[in-house]
Amino acid sequence: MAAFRAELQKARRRHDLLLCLLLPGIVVLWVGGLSPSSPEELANGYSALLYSIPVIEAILLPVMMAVLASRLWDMEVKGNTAKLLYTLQTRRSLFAGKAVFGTLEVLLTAVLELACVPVLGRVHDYTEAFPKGQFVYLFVCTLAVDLMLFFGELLLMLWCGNPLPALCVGIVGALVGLFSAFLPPLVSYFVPFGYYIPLSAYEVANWDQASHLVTYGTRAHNWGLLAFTILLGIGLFAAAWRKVQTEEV
Amino acid sequence: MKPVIETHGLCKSYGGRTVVDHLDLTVPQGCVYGFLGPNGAGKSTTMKMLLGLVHPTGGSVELLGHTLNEENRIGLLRQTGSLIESPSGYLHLTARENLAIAADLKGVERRDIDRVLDVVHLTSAANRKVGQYSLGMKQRLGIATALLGSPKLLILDEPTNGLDPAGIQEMRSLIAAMPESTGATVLISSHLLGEMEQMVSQVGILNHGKLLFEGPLAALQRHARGGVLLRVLDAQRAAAVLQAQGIRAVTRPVQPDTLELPPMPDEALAALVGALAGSGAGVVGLTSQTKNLEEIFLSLTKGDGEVA
Repeated sequence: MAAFRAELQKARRRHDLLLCLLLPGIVVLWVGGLSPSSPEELANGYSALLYSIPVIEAILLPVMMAVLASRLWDMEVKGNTAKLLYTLQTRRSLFAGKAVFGTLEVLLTAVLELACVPVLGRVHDYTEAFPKGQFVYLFVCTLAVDLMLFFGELLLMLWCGNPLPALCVGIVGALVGLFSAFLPPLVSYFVPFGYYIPLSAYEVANWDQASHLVTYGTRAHNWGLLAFTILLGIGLFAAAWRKVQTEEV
Repeated sequence: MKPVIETHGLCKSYGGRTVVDHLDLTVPQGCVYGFLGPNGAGKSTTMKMLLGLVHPTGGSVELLGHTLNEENRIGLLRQTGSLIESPSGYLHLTARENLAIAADLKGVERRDIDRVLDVVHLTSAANRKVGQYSLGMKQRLGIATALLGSPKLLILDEPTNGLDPAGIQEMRSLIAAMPESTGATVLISSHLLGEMEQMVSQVGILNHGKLLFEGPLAALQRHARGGVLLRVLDAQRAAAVLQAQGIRAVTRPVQPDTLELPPMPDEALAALVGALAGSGAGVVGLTSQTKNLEEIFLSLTKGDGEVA
């Protein structure tokens, strides 16, 4: 608890909340700009949103997670505080404080981002019934990939002691992840940065070339990839903890 | 009285390179202990091992009467203040906010923050962001953090680094007075030997990870006994007496009436002066020379020989 309180104190003037608001803001602007108008589009409104959001996530979230993770440790590097902190608290409590704080930031980002879905539905009066089950699945998948990327980027930051590699990997990861989505599904499994897309439950069922009308359909939930994402996230979390535990300062 | 710090055969190696070699250190309670050595001697590594920041490859550390281990480390370190290498501080926070984080983690009342700020003369800058501080101010903030909770033991690694001359003088006075003013024992490292003489009562000299000397400053200063300068009216006659007694004297080219004699016991010196007076050399001055700490340190480190 003291470690988490310390993280809250350290967060003063770092504007982390603004960062967490940034992503939902971009989603609202991006998806809101493509707001449906015809009755056919309104009847497909939520499906279109739940199809688009994983693509937007694949572009933005690897960078966002890199920013959140690197900022969380970078202040310790810049302030040269590790030697002091390890005499005031156990390594376990420092890492636990960081992990809880970071997880809450990621959770807040995911909640705010996905809260845009029902809000946009209401604003635009979608006629499609709100797909609760698919929405929860998307939330779980988003959170799982976010946390996996967050702890991966945190590990990179711990290794390098510099935010730049983590940010570069986040940017390159976003591009490669998006690109992999247009390659055979098997290829996309090798690019964790883009897992948002193969985990998505929505796909384009039909595109009417004459009317430019897109009809979306659902596909089976990818539980296997979701389980792998969670396991990978746990592995990266454990590796980051191991690094903090064994690092001599 | 039980020592505050004791190490037994403490060792640290990095990839086969021994940095600290079977170190047996004893820091008595209530003293300012100067830990001396050139850069790379192993001082910082030793201090980090005392704080559990670096794992020893051999030996053990006793802190405040308890063998240091992972279970009791934080409990013991809560009674300890430390400043290792460069000072720490969150650059986006003020000094007061930095100290609040340290105080909360250390379990110290926040009202102690004002006291430590006052001790290091940072009260007027307490609400400025640490990112705007000079290195000297950051160093003082580091000392303030170490002083939180009036610890029984302070471990300070070259705390005067980056301070201006006035700051150095201030820091020396603060540290030298600490055993009396707060009851704390201070272990302080430095490679600036001259500044240690003004602060410490006990000294340990480390080189290549080995302890060359440990004991009171006064004992070290006994090794400081140098030769004798003899000023006479007739240097040629004096030289003849010295030669007859088998004493090798060196004449100073710029002061032909002054002879430099090797160190000798007081009785032998008294007899020699009597002989010189009897020969008519005319003894007009006798000055006992003392080596400064730098010279002693160099003579100790040159041969790596242990000095009792």
